[in-house]
Amino acid sequence: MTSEKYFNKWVREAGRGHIAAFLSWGCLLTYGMITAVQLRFKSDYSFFGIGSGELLWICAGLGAALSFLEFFYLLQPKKLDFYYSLPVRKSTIFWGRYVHGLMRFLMPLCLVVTGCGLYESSFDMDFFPFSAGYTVRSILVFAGVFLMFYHIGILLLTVCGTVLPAILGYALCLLYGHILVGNVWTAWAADYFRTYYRIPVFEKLDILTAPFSLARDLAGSNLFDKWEVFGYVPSGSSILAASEWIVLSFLLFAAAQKRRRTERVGKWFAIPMAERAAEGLLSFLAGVWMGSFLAALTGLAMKSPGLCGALSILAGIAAAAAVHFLLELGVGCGRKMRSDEAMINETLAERGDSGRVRRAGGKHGGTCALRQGIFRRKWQLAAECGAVVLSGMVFLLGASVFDAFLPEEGEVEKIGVSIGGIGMNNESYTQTRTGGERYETPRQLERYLLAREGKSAAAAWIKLLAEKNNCLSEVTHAVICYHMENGSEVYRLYPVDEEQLQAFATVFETDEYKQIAYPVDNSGFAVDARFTWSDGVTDTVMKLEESEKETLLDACQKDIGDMKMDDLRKALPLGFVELDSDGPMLPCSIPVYPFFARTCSLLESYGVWTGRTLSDYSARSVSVSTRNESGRGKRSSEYLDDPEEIAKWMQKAVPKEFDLQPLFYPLDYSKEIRVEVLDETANSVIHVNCYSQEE
Amino acid sequence: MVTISSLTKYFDDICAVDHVSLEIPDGTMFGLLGTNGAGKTTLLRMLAGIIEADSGEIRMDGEENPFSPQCKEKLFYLPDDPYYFPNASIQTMLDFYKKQYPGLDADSAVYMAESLNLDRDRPIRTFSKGMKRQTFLILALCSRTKYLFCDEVFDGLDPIAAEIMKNLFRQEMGSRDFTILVASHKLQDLEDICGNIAILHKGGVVTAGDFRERTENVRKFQCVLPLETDLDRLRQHPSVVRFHEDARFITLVTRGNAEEIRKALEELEPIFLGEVPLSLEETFIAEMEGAGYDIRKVLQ
Repeated sequence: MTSEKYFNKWVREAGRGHIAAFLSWGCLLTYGMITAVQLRFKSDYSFFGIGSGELLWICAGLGAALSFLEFFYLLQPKKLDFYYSLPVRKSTIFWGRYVHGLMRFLMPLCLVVTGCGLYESSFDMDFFPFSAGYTVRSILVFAGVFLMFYHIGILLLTVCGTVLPAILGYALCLLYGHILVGNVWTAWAADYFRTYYRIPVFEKLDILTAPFSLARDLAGSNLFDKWEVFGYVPSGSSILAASEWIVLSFLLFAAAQKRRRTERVGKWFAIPMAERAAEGLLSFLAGVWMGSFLAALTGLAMKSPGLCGALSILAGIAAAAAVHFLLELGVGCGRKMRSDEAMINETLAERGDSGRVRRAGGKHGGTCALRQGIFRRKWQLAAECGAVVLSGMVFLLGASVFDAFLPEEGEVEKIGVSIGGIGMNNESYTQTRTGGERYETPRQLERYLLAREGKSAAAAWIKLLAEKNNCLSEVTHAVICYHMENGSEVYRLYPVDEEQLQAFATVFETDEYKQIAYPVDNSGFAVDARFTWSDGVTDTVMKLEESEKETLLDACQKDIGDMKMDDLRKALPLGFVELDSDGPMLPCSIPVYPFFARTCSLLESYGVWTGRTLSDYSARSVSVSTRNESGRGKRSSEYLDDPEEIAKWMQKAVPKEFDLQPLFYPLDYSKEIRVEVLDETANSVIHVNCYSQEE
Repeated sequence: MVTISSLTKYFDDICAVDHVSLEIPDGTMFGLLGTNGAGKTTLLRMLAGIIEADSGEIRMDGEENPFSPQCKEKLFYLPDDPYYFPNASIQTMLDFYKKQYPGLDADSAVYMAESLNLDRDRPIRTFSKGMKRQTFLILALCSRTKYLFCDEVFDGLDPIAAEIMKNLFRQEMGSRDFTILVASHKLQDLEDICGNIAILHKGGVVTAGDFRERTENVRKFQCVLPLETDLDRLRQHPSVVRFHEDARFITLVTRGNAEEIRKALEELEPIFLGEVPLSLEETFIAEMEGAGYDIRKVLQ
């Protein structure tokens, strides 16, 4: 009997129950059929491979399920005795099952994905050029996803002795990285680092150390546009992290299956080293988690970081020790006490003094055993507590280094700037102040990227912010993103007081910043665009010759160039010149302020009534919704149809579109006004949402 | 021959098998006797290669690596509660074992199953405990391995089923080179089939060997002696291993020359004197007490 024949025999033997085959073929074929139907009807939004959330769940689920189905025998003492007494190596049974599980997944996956690829390419001409690449990439990506979950499952089943720790360990493997990086380190950074906004390395680590997040990243689950999906290749770091998960877990279980001791089946861990590792990891996590929890609970981190850090570290040590002792009680001490009791039993039996075991163990014997049991790994306990202290100290002592970070200009390629209340409406501004905003600041950091003279001005201004440690009269905050020459991104958040805000004029008034804040496209495409005047109520199409358009855009550029930051405190826009085109130009909207003398005069000469405000329209009714003084609870609403009342509110109302600079020109945001304007030209009613001017 | 040298196994800090050394000669039926927790199953599992010893050595026919697949083709391990695949029938298990043991005699297995009225196609899970034992014994015997290690193979069987199984053992041993190691906690299970017996207690071997040979000089006498006989003198006699007095009816277990002991008893002018055969249990007790052990404590 050759070994090759022998192995094949055991690969076939692993499929005796057919459950794995039924599960994998069943799930993937069902998926294939449903997806094929969806592809036929909405191929722009349905993807059979990369981009499919359903396939991601199926592959991850099958990885976990097949690992448990194939290797559950490792937790069954009777079955182990049966297999291990047969004339076969233990490793042959193990690897036979490994290969069987792998084949049970890969065969239907390749068949289903290839089938779907051929099917879609038969009717979707957009897909046809991508068909081969996309199909192969999809197979590789989802095989990788499966392998991650399959290997983690096998590792847990190999090192554990019963099913409960295997399941708990699996859950811990999936969540550990996320809890440590996302909930502890990030929380500590937010608590201790005064200038913390976000740390991309932590965000990346959060994804890479959490298998499911990594799988989502690999499988492009966040993509919806079909062109992006068809051409998607996972990032190098994701591929590397997935490979590490796959290879590391493979090496670990390959080593563990050799060291696994059959007689430890039934205990929590079949390998003592795994018991130690789990105990260490859990105690450390409990310690650092408790530390971050206490920091968040007391809120002392910003007021008194030293005290908060000391308390957090002490609480962390206590939590790590508590978890360590609890685990020792559960896993180790019980065994020690049992063996002590057995020893006492034997002694009494030899003396013919039966029936006194419990009393003979007594209070002192039990306490002694307990003390010996929970302290049997005192050096490990010290290491766990030391790791908690080290973790806490890194954040506590690293705060000053983090907050004092100011890169040399040569190290920075670009600087992104976002200031709360500048270039955003009040809703976004309110959200940035309460910390719930997720879109506007990242959008601004991406948009306001300064690489030329704006970068130098911004660097000087940021230095001003960084040098002032205590900002007592904060009016807003600035988020800075340094795009470093080495490709990394570094974020900082600084409080801004009135003086520093004034100083921002040096950045605002650079040509580079203005070109980004007020883009005026005077390329050849713009002269072909439609020009519209919008006064916040109605839009009026301007019928302009090409030369008139060019003149208007030039005037706008000059007015913007002359604009000072302080001008924004003086007036609201009169309206917007909007450009839209069927060509390759992106639509743009240029606000026109009263101090844009050239632009206003040109617009007037083109027949645009730039001075027309809301009060120049006839209104049918006004409804005013007023927020309570506390800002909570129900708003009180008032419907007004009295002409005098309407006229009074129309004087004060400002269309929400004009609320562009809530920091420089704040409105009364406690009142939301809805005006029913009669559009006489179209014989219709226009609803205009407004704020009130501050009184 | 299976040679076990100083085999030791710890489960955490409990010593399950403590420096056990045994020799199991070829063609014999060797009994392992001991109470629950004596280390019998652990010893068998080590011999079957299921668990590894912490120290010591096992040699099977002199092989240094007795747990290579080639060597393990020579042994069959029959545990107390054997595993079978869900819904498997005798035929399913036979097909499976045929792949593992190339020498398996399927025809004999079919014949034996039919002889014992075991339905080959019925799921084994529907069998009674005795039927399951018979099934696996058939599979074990027909696998044609040189060694068979059985754990509590007669436990829970009715006397007829136990006798059938013992007969199957005897037939197989008579027909080929076959060595059986049977572990049991009941002496009665082993006394009529095992020549060699090792007694395990708390992981160690108390004693081992062919006890019938070793107790050739042990005799059991029953007598009724006159009232004036000095019984204390008789009790203190160096040849008397056990002395039991019930009114005037005395039972003696003696060690030494049988004729001399009989002659000495006759000198006491007994009203009645007769020699009765010893059971294996009594032989053990005599042997163990001779060695200084209280065997009743070991076998309790």
